[in-house]
Amino acid sequence: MSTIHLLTSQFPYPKSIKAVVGFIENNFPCSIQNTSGPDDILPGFDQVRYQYDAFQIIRQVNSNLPGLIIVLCDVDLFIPIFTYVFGLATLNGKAAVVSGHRLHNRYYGLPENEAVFNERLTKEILHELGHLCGLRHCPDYSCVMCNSPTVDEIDLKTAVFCPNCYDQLQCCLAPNHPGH
Amino acid sequence: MIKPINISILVVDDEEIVRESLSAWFEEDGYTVDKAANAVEALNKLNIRRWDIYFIDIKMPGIDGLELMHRIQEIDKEALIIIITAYASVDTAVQALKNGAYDYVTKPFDPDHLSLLVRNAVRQFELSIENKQLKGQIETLAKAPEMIGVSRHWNEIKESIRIVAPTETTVMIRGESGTGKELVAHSIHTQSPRRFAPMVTVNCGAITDTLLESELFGHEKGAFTGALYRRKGKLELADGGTLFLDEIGTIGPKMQIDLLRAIETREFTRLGGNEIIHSDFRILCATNSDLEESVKVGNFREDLYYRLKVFSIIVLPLRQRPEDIPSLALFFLEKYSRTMNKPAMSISAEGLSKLESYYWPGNVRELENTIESALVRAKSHILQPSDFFLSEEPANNRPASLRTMAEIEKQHLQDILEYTHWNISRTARILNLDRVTVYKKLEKFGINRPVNNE
Repeated sequence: MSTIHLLTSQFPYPKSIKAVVGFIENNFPCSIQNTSGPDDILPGFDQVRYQYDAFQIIRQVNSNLPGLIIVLCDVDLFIPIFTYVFGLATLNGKAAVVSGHRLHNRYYGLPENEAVFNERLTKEILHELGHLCGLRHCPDYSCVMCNSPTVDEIDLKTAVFCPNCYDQLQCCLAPNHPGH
Repeated sequence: MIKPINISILVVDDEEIVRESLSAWFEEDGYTVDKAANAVEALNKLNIRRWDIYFIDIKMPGIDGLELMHRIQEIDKEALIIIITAYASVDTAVQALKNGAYDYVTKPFDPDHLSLLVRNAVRQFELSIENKQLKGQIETLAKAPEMIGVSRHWNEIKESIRIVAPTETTVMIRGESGTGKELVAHSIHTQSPRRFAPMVTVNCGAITDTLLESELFGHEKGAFTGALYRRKGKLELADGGTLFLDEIGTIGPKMQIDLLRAIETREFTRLGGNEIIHSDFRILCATNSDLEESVKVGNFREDLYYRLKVFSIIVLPLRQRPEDIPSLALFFLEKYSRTMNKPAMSISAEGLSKLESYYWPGNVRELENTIESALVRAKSHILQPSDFFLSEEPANNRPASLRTMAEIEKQHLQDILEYTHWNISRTARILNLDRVTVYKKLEKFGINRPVNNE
């Protein structure tokens, strides 16, 4: 079974981590090793934008770890050409970063909802994991690989890969995959 | 699986040296290439076949490159056209791009730039094919959900869906809670031309009117306290697709006005915003309330009512179509057996009979929960009546048509006893029975004389 390292940093929601890890391990052929890092570990803070550069976070990840790596944080992320991103992964890469920051209802003036937050977080992690496994954006609006530039579109899609995407994902998560 | 594509290119240029050199260069890269010396020759060739990518010189005698591009686009909307120009003329290039050219390239060509351009154009074309192939695959994914049921009523619903789904008609789905209204909506959507875009569901009954406004229309950053980021509303998300408004009867008066305006114009603004958002959506709605009564007493706007009730589909409660119960029960049995990894399960005849005779106040949803719960408890692979825990529905809450003979007899006896003030002789005469039989029935049904009725 493949191992996915979930490195949490500046992410103070242990219950959410438990919920996300539980869902992914129950539904996908992988095991997740959760490691929490010190709160000052995140690089890439931009003083002008007051956001963290997602590219820099990915670059700083220790690539000696076997398996795929997802950095989970709660800071506001950006990449230079966009005003924000929910997460970032390189296609067929080793590491991705996902932030829960813009997934909280409170930033949209709505009552905080843990279940909704957990669901959005799960979808975003699965989405970036899909990119690490070589999946591109899927035109099926219900597939978790569908491009979702806003939190509302995240809510619209499911935490499920469509059959085509799932086939590719399974190959990637197979234990003898060269990437692991 | 996406099939590999063999790219074909047509080079249209009045200069022979350009035609020949470009063709040779493309053929070295494995493309299928053809040439035309002018627009007329190109158009004649187009009568016979099409190409994937066109390289067209902008300045040619007779019909020029821009005009040729326009004519090709009329024949083949998806043609990838690259304009060749001898001058780095910004105006011409911009005009070509505005008219739909993929890109332009100046003579003499920089080989590196041309390579990149062709690579990108080929990729663009491949993506377009891939998109079409994926859409074809999505056709099977976007299939209608299973509509389980064998009753005449259910078949009529399926026929109604088949008729109304391909249209843009607004549909109102009515029925008790748990009867499958959302399933019907989903089925309409996936059989409509809008099936490749989302069906966006809003449960109007689950949200207060204040939140419902933001839910439907979205809001801009700063629209109210705590709104740090913009939010799209469901009306905007439904663009190109279907908007399903569940429990439509619960929305308040102000919301009804705003919703009516948005439905009529397909335009709205987000809360706190000025930008007019256009959204093209089809509306389906559902209610379990008496909307006609609500209109009568003034709780629901008549104009909104008529705007929504263009085509109605009524879903009867499960108790009024008991012939659907076995097929539904078996469907849920198979579904949950699979997810619980249980071996092939079945329901005994007595178990089915118990399910068929129950009132099902919660309708199909309650049936589904009952089957799931029974599977958890099941000790064998055949579900028995004892595996089904059904709530005790008081007999006199059920309509007489659904009571057992014993229940009806007991109730009648009690009614007559009350009428005769417990005069057994008179009761026996009315019921055409002897007194001994009346006493035996009192004992059988456990009916006792009330304490104050001596």
